[in-house]
Amino acid sequence: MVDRFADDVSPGLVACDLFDKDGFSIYGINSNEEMCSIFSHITNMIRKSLENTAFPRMEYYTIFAEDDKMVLIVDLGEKYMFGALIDSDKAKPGLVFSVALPKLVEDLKKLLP
Amino acid sequence: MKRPETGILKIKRKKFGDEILVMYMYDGEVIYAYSPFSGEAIGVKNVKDFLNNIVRSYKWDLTHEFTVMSENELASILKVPGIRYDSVSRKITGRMKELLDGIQGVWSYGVFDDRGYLIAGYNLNPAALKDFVDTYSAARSGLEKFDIRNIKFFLTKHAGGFFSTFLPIKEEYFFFFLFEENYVSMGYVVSSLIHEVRKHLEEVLVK
Repeated sequence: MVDRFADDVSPGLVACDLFDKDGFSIYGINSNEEMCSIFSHITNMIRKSLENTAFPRMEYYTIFAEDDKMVLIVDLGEKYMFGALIDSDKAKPGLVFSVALPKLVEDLKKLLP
Repeated sequence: MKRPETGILKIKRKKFGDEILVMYMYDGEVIYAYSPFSGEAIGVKNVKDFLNNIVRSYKWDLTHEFTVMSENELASILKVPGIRYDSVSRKITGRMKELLDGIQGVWSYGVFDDRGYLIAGYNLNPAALKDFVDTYSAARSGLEKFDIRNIKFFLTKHAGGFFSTFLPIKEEYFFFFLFEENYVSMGYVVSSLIHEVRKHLEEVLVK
């Protein structure tokens, strides 16, 4: 299903990983352990901030950065996260958010404990 | 012109009991209101309308429940880093109202500085802002390791059809906006609204 996400987002996918809460990659394309570790930490910070403010729980977040780079992190519960680095010039955000992402999240939630 | 007033207002209402509201006033206008103890008993939008009605109807001097406090006293009571109140906050408040007040589905918004000090906002808990800034800093330094040095904005999808955006303005100021997708589309926010907000904020904040 990660491969299918890569196909859906292709040719805009630069890298992606399914990783655990400690930042260890389970499966990835152009996998990057350092990225997993950094975003595991950042995701936990966001979760904590949201808990402190009583805002609704996070499902995913996206960082829109320079050069049309887009980081997408999906919170898959207490144990897992999915992260992708996408070139939004090659994979339009509408396609990612409306087509590729909902399919991936639905599949991963069924699969992961 | 009236002097700016910052303080705490205690409102007694039979139906809901006592509510403590924190508010900013400038020249008779409520520019910020937040209830740290109850967000549910009375919706903040209603609180804002309610306060505006009080201001319009009673001109404050007819109420003796409003206690003027310094920003430091207020911050100490709220246990938050602080709330800025100066000419910048007044300018920002005017711009934010122009841009956001008429949009249905806006739950909260705010502009704050890199210390987490709220400058202007609506229904935004000031206690959260330093966390937001710290998270942004961590993301920025993390991405630098991958040669990405400039973050345009964060977009977060929350449960229940809510989205929020977090927008840095020249590394010094930040804008946060929570909205409900049923009323405001994510596409509109990403492709149009935040660029308008950035433009307006840069005009006021960046010299």
